[in-house]
Amino acid sequence: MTELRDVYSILPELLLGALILVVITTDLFLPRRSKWLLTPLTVFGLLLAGAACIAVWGTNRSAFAGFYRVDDLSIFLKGATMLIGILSALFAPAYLRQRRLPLGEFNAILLFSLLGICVLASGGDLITLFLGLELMVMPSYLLAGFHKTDRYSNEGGLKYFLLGSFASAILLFGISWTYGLTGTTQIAQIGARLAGHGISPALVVAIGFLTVGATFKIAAVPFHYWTPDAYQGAPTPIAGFLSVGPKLGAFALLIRVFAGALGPIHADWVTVMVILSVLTMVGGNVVALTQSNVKRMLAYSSIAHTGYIMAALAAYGNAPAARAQQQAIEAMLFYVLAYAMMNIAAFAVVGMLQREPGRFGGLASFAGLASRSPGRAAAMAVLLLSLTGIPPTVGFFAKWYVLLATVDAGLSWLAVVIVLNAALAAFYYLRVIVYMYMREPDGNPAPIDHSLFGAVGLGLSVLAVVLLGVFPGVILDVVRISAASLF
Amino acid sequence: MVGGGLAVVTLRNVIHSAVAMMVCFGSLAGMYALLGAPIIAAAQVLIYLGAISVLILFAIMLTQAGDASLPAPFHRQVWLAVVAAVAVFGLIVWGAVQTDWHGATRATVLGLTAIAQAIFTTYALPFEVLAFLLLAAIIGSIFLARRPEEDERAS
Repeated sequence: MTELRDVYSILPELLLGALILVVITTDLFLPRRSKWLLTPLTVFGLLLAGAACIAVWGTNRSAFAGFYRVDDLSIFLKGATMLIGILSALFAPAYLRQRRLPLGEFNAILLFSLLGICVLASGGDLITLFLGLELMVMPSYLLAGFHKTDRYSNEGGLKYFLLGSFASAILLFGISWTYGLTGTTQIAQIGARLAGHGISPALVVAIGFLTVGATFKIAAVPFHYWTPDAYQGAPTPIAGFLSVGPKLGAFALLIRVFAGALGPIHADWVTVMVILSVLTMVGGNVVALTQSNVKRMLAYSSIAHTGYIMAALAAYGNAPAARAQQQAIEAMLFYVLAYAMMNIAAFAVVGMLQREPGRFGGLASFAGLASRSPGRAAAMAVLLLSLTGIPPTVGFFAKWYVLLATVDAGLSWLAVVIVLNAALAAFYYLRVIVYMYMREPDGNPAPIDHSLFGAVGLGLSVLAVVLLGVFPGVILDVVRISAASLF
Repeated sequence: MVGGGLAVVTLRNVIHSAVAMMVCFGSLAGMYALLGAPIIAAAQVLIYLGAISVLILFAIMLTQAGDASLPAPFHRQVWLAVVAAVAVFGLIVWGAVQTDWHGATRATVLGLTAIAQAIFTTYALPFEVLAFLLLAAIIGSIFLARRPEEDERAS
């Protein structure tokens, strides 16, 4: 039965839900000139929800008849979600205003998607997980097609929607097979019932469908075809959100399903995960090398980053002992958080160079940025160095922990593949820095957006990337407690 | 049901496809009834056969101009698709036939009261999440369907 404590433990979600309603109604009554007030309102609400995450930190219990699992892992992911939400709400307004797109609808749809990620992070049951997933991705389809008078945005949104619905159906089919096999949808019981029975053909089918459905959502190769078009078509700051928000949620799904429900039979799925991880890393990086459009390059490189995070999940599957398993989950959480901060801000910088509608974020628009806007060029340089994984940025430690986890799990060759891929990625990341600092701007340089919200968001993320790179211990303790709550 | 489904994707005329889909929906309702879930069967008839089919027919009527017959898209990779579909079908049949299903749950026929109680007690949280999902869908579809001029007034 539902208790009062259950309701208290979902305080962050309740605040987020309330914020959605407040934003929708405020939007109705605000005069056109004052619409910008929605941004501080959304940010304030998300800060409150983030504070609620801190307030419920340390709760480790199942709520709502087992449908919801509130543990430190979920609270950590929810905190990261609020952070992503704050950054998205700060980066988007200027870009939307220049294209005369409505801010109220954007904020509402973004918040719906965030709520979906929170539900996903806490899913204790396959039904909750599926509903959370849909609540997360359905607003994402809308966001991808948000610029509805733009042909590319329409194309990206439609592709994302069609392929995404297809993947959801596949995942749902996998869930129904799992239910048929075990007679339950509760994560904790599925693991217990599958353990020690050996592998049956139906289990192969179930794991197969679950893997395809879930890896589609994180855009792993070979299920990544929607990614570049959806990200390139979406308004740039929204592409930043799409590349981190739904990905965070999908990794929460992977942790819950593979480490939670299928954890006891990890030997049966680890090989598939290793293969997908290698394909994703190499595939994403090789195609990213050939891109001359920075937005598309970031889209492909986000696929490569997915591969690194999947390597950590593979390390979990291959780990000989509980300690190494926990270390792999820690590496995953750290990487997801670090990646979220760097990637969303990198997309935002590309968006700032698209002040004139009709600019597509080509490499040439970065030429000579250092002399035209030193602050933004320096910020972009830090973000790109962090994405490459160069110390003392947070990106270095993120890769370092994934490497440690793979080596401790006995997958040293996978660690070598990661290092080689990071070296490959350095080429296309550093090429943008070369353009910014060593090329003269061309005759008709793109005007730069100098809005206050965007600058604040960029400053915050660069500060976080550098500070967490110098003092990774702060977040490491949080990550350790979070991962421990899974075991 | 399989015949209806095949007809939906192979028929060239959109209206014929829509009618074939109604056949598909109807036979699915029959399948639910045979499996001992009369309430779901009734809901399937009411919502899918009743509401959604009519909605689809109206949508076709309002958007189609002139000739409704269209050339089939995606025909270039049809053989590849057939191979993939047969392979997946084979995998599913293999999984279903070769498995010892002793662990599967017996279907229990639930009354309306029991279902209503379950929805508002045990399943209260998923139910509320669904409410948010529907709200998001409504706001999103209004946003997408609105004309650009109205957007400018709203922004």
